[in-house]
This record gives sequence, C-alpha cells and structure tokens, in this order.
Amino acid sequence: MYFDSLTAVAHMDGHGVYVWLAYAITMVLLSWLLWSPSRELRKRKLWIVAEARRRAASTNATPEAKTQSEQAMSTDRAQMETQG
Amino acid sequence: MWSFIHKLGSPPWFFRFSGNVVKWLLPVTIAVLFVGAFWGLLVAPPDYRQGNSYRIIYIHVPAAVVSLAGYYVMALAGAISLIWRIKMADIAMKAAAPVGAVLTGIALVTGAIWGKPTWGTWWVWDARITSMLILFFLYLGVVALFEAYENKAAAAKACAVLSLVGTVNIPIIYKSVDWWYSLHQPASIKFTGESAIDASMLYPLLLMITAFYGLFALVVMMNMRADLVWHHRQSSWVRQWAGFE
Repeated sequence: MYFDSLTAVAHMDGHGVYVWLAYAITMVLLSWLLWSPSRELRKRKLWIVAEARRRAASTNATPEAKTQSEQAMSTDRAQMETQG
Repeated sequence: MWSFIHKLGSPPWFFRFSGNVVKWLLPVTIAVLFVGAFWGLLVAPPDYRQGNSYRIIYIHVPAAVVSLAGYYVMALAGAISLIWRIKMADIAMKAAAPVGAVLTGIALVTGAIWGKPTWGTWWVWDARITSMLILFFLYLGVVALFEAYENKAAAAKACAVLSLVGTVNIPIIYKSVDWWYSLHQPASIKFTGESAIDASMLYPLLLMITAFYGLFALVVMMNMRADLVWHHRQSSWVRQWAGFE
C-alpha cells in the first residue's frame, strides 16, 4: 500500500479531485453499459411472455375478446418498437 | 475452427453459447477490474514527474486501447455483413457501436481530466486528441445511422460502409504521437523492445486492459442477446427461453 492514511488516499497530494473524478465518471458509465442490455433483455422477456399469454387466451375466447387482445398486442408492439 | 465460425451465424446457437459465456465472464471481468483499480489507485507508486495524477492512466489507456480494437471488430463485422450478407454480423456491428462510443468518451473525458494538472489545460486540438474525437463521432455516426433508416438491411449497409471508411482513422490515431509534434506522450508499452514503464506500474495496467477487453466482449454479447430475442420473438427457441412451448 502506497498511502498511509485515508486522508492521503482522498487527497493524493493535491491530485485527488482529478483522479477520483475520472474514476467516478468511468465507473458510472461502465455500470450503465452493463445494466442497460440486461434491463432490455428482461423487458423483452416480459413482453414475449405477456404476448404468449394473450395469444393463448384469445384462442379460447369470443370473437370480440379476440379483436381486443389483438389490438392490445399491436399497441404493445408499437410501443416496444419506438423504445428501440 | 471453421465449424465454430459457422455456428456463430446461427442465432439460437449463439444465444445459448453467449448465455454461458456471459455467466462466467461477468464475475471474472468485474473481479479483474476491481483488483486492477485497487492496485493502480492505492498500491502502485506515484510517477516521479506527474505525481499521483498519473493514476488516471489505469482507466484512460485501457479505454483508449479497447476503443481502437473495438472499432476494428465493428468494421470487420461490417465487412462480413457487406460481403456475405450475414444477419448476425449486422447485429454484432450494431451491438459494438455504442460500447465503442462510451469507451472513446471515457478516454476523452479522463484524458481531459488528466490534462488539467499535467499540461495545465483540459483540451488541446492536437493530432492524437482530435483523431480520438473523430473516432468518437464515427461511433456515434454508426449508432445514429442504424436508427435513421426504417429498412434495417439498408441501415446495416450504410453503417458497414461508414465503419469501413472510418478505419482509415485508426492507424492515424496510433501514429499521431510520432508523426506530429504533440503534448500527448508517446506509447509506454511496446510489443517490440523494452517498455518505458516500470513493472510495479505495468502489471496493474495490463490487468485493467484485460478487464476492459472482457467488458467490451461482455457488453457486445449482452447487446446482441437483447437484439436477437427481439428479432426472433416469434421463433420457437425464443418462446422456449421465455418459458413457453
């Protein structure tokens, strides 16, 4: 260990602000890189599950219920597509 | 080898394979990243001329190195997409662009922060820094171009052409510190000959470069997985993965 106290670690002989700022920005950006695709995958899985449920429900439903569920599905898809 | 490359073109196979890779690569990469950062920040000695500000090297150099290598990966995917029209190559290219943009952004921002105590300025329009800024815009251009087209095949074609043309910039970035007079210091690590950096500073740097490569591979694969699931949402393998059929 090069530093002998926590204050020395924070201060780094006057360079602490620069060093810690650079590391903080990097850690935030890297965490975002890792978090955003896992969130996207989770969201899409939920959509696929919901669509499969709706489809299953509409095959056993009345004609009116069928149209309603198809409409819901197309709105959902449009929403997902605009979100990327 | 060839059969492995052939399999990479198959979405269900790649999805399964990448799922397994992500599972072990994620903890390993995070562990290496933390060990490298701890070593570089707290254990390595300060630079005799720059003092402690040099510790930014442990994120600045890995981000810059991987942003350059990542561009080649993206351009190679672009070339494969243009020549063989393989959909997976389009998906890989689209997945690599935002990761490269963020890494180039990190290299630029940490470079600016490092420049302030070292050169007395946040920014200079010198060859190395300007060519890195161009790299940043090239990555952003590919991201934006993918979004700009309704027709995904046309988008992939335009992005492939842009990324291939942009490869001209990469050797310019590498060589900029030798070709032009620059504030930026020349490379400390050399593949041939002795490195101009002591082992006590070199080892944490190598760890961090490894971690950034791991991170690039991880995020590209994760982006590709999210994209694949959406493209193939009607396929039985996706429905199976989601818990149906």
